[in-house]
Amino acid sequence: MMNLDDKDKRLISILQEDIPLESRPFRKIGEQIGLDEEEVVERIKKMSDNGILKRLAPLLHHRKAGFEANGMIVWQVPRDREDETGLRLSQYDEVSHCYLRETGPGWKYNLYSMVHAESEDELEKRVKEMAEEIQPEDHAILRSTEELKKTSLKYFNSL
Amino acid sequence: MMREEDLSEKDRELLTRAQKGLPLSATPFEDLGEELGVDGDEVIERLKKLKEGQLIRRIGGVFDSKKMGWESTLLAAKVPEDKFYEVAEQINEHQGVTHNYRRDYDYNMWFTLSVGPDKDLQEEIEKLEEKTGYEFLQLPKKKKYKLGVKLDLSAEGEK
Repeated sequence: MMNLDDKDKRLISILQEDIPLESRPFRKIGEQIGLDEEEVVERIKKMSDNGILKRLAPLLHHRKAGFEANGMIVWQVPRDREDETGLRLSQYDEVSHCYLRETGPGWKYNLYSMVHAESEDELEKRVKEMAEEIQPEDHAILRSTEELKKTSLKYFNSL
Repeated sequence: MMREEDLSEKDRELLTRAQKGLPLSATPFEDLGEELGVDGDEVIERLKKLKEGQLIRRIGGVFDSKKMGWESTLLAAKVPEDKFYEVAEQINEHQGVTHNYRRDYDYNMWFTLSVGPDKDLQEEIEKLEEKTGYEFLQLPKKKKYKLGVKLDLSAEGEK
């Protein structure tokens, strides 16, 4: 873990929102935290070198036409086939996320994939095809029926 | 509202390049424009329009939360219907809860909890369990096989 001073933390709390759309954005950001433009750019480069900052970039709203149904599919797959199966599932275009997670008491599923489809019927059909291919010991479709909270993680906002 | 299908060829080219990360310099938009053969002002104008059209959600930093000392996990709870919204509120009050969904399963509440370097994840989970009176299934991530999809907008269908 890299040591971040208060200026870094304030810089992160600004960069996690929007950077100004103007020719010298970092001059303006610097004014807010008491750094000159060059220092801001240097700190950003350092965070990028350390891997703390993955990138400065536009993030899109994903609104691809026609993908209405989605579900979290949980799969129970034997230990020795975890990686193989996770990588296979990732190759499907309909799968946006695929993770391996710990199991728990009374919870045997270890692989998780988000699957998107044009309709509920299509979703079920696609999941069935996937199951036929990867041959899990068991699987289940967990549809989200209500969004109770959705925000993004905020870093160092209290400063 | 703009859709991906409505993008001009120039916007596609710009977004595809910009999604990989803006140049980390004092004049990021000008430098990006240079790579694409347009001037900085045009880059800024196009990005502004895409943001107004809500195709771009945000233009800013993407950080590696783990490298900054953030820890997170997926949690699930079985909550009876008559307590459901009360418990959802107690859980959602926690600043570190970023997503919470109802799912059609016996574990019907699924949420993520993230805590910064000044806090202990396990302690926060236990506090939430005490507050709500329910024990959670803890499902920390062991591996990522696929995380979201960056869209290649440069030429439809081409990879």
